[in-house]
Amino acid sequence: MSLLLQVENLIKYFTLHTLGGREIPGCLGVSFSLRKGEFIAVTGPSGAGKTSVIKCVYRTYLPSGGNILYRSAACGEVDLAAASDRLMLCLRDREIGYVSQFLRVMPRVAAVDIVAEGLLRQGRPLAEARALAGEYLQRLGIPQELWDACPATFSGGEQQRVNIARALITRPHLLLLDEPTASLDQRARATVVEMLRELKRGGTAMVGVFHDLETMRKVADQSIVMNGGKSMTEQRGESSGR
Amino acid sequence: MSLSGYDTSGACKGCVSAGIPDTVTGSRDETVLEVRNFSKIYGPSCPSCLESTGPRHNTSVCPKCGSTVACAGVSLTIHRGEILGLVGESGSGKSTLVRCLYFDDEASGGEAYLAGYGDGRANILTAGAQQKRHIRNHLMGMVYQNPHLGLKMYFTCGGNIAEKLLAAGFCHVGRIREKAGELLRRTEIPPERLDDLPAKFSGGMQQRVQIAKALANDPPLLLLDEVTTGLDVSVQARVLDLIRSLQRELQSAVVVVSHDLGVIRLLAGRTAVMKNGRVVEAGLTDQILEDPQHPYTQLLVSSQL
Repeated sequence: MSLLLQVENLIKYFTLHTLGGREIPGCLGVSFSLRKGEFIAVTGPSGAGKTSVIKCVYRTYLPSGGNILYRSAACGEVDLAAASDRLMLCLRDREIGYVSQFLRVMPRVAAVDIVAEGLLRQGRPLAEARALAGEYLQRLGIPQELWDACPATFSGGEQQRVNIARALITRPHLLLLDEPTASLDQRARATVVEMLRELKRGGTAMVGVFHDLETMRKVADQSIVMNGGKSMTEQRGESSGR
Repeated sequence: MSLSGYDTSGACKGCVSAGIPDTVTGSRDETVLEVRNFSKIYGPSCPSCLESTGPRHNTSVCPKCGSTVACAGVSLTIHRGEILGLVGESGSGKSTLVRCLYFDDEASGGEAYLAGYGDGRANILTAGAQQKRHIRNHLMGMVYQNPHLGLKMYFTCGGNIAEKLLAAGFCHVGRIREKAGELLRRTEIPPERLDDLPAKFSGGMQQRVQIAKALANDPPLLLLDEVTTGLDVSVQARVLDLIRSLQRELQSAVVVVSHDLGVIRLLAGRTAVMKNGRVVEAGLTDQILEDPQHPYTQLLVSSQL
């Protein structure tokens, strides 16, 4: 199988002009590569630069150095570190998904429509998108009477499940996850693991930031441990070779 | 360093127009509006106006001649189906830009090219008055912060929308009423209020009538100037959701001017930040908000409630 993502010597530091140009390190020279259907977990203490890595790949952060080669289905090989804003938006719509730590969405939009949105952006008909959104919410254990409610009033765990549903529903080629299971109970966690494994079998490659090592081990093929912005070790997880 | 060979199945329109491998795609660019080196100066203007104003000097007023450099060197591109945010403090020149693009005010310099006019190769800023009127009526929609600027308060809702439809070449009264009713339905105004005066509406409703009017000619380009400023939060959320769903449906290119980063975050895919008449930073909206590069953007983002 060929490589989908190759991160080479990724560097990110933040220049804080409000503090006289002080430079804060995010990640310092992180490298890894990922094949189709593979899951790489990024672990380490808070402030180690884990989120910086995946935000650079999603281009929420502008990388300060290094390359992020991504093999796009539509556009061929692209260096995400240098891709145009326009291309990034296009790839986000079509190929690259992101599960953030917290759900931040348009107020007064129903949960089912939030989940369906990614499909609408891809041009799927409304009825079909909503039906599929319902299936995802159902599967993640969001009771049907909440589908038409706005997630602002949901519990933390429910919000996180809506967040996961809306990223998974588009079946991206590359999925970036920032502590996707942090606020979930045991049962929801098991469901999410199951869904992630299904996506993997379908070919989705994933990079996930985890504190919850137990869940991490159930899905990750390899992991990198970060500390102080650097990747310390690389190891194969127990789910490798699946 | 190179990754192994890739397949070219599933080429996407957006990628194509993002200037990515022509060989993969071959389809054409979807640029709706391109603004190059736009400037607007109020006052006599002198040779040192441009170099002695801007973010570096923290002023838009020329110390020599007293002219106000509202915009200078502004370049932007907007594509079909895209929402571009324009943020900045009061007086940063963001409203001036959209007003000049809508010909409410005359540009001092620069170029703007609009798909649908002169093959996208003729500068609309130097077009004649009649051509400008044609562009406004057929290719653009504008929503002002103050509904009084966009609506005739003592014409009925239907009359306001009909005015735009007539200008865009509709002439059958039945068709006009039908289309006006349809626009009001989409902007969630009860159709039975078609013959009421906007003067009797709440601020949020007036704003929605204004949006209906702006959309009447199915414009490829929609300009929104602080549309939710001054609305209470519940109405604001509704107007934002309306804009986004209409935009997704119609695939218009939209410029959203706002000083509210929350509005920009919810609506815009890309954002440009203005200060003292200049664009100081442009990028993906989430990047602008989470990893701002320019000192002013950092200040703006860190000042948000």
